[in-house]
Amino acid sequence: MSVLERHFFLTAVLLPPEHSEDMSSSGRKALAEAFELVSRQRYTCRSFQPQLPIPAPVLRRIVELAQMAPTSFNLQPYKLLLVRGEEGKDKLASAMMGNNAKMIQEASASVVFLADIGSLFEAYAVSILAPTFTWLFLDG
Amino acid sequence: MQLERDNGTDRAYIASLPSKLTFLLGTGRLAKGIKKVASHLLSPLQPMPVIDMDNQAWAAKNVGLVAQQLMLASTAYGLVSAPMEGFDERRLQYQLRIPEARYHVPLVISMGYEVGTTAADTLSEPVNSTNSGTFSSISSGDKQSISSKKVRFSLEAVCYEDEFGRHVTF
Repeated sequence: MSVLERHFFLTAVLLPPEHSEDMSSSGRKALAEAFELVSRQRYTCRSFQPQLPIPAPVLRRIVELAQMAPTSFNLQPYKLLLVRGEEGKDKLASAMMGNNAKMIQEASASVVFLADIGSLFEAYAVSILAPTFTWLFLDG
Repeated sequence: MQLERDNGTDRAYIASLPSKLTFLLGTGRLAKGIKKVASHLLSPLQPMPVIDMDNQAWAAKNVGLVAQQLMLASTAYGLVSAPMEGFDERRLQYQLRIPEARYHVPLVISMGYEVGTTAADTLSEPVNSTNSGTFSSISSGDKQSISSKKVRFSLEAVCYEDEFGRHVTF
């Protein structure tokens, strides 16, 4: 991807909301084109440039954007485990099969996705208990 | 819950949460059986959820949405990624100190730069963020009360580094 393309779709997506209400047709088009680019650009790459870290602010933003995904009842029943350090990579690689271990070592960062099985039960307990406590502690 | 309330979600919606959540909650074989029968009987009258899914499948489904979002976000920032499921979950949970009773590991995603990329080719700063997920024109036109701003846990509450429970630093 050229630097120009990248700049184009990053600026296109981030029109401020007050502008988006009366967004011009060119703005809407840019947004759609930006999504076309991102969607078609993504592919599964099986080797990475080693020893090239992702700048921390960028990595942080990527995780924050991932958090924008919708979840059931907005429970967000997941945890992310970011593996960047040598020690962490070694540990993670020891659990990976075949070529995947090499990919973990080469990659700048890996994210382990944890699906929170207990979240549903916890949310149910809270949804039952919270109204009770609100009633007890709030007067009027 | 508190997040929802603080951000002005409809009270009736919050009040309906317990009953909705019990339907999803798959604990107990008997309870599941009853729900299954009830769901089958009511299905011709109104749309009902199919009671086949266990909590693990439910959680994994939610993770899938986040995973795709992460890959698209990394693509936008000029990275390449690889989702992987070829790993030994028991080993992984042991090595990274993940509480195996509560957390299932559906996938791992590696991110990095294409071979041949140099630091000069990478973006070092994220673009400006508006922290607003939805177009205001869409939410105001909608009859239902949907909040125009997305409510999410802080990154620190969701993300750990190198092993479970270790605070992440950027």
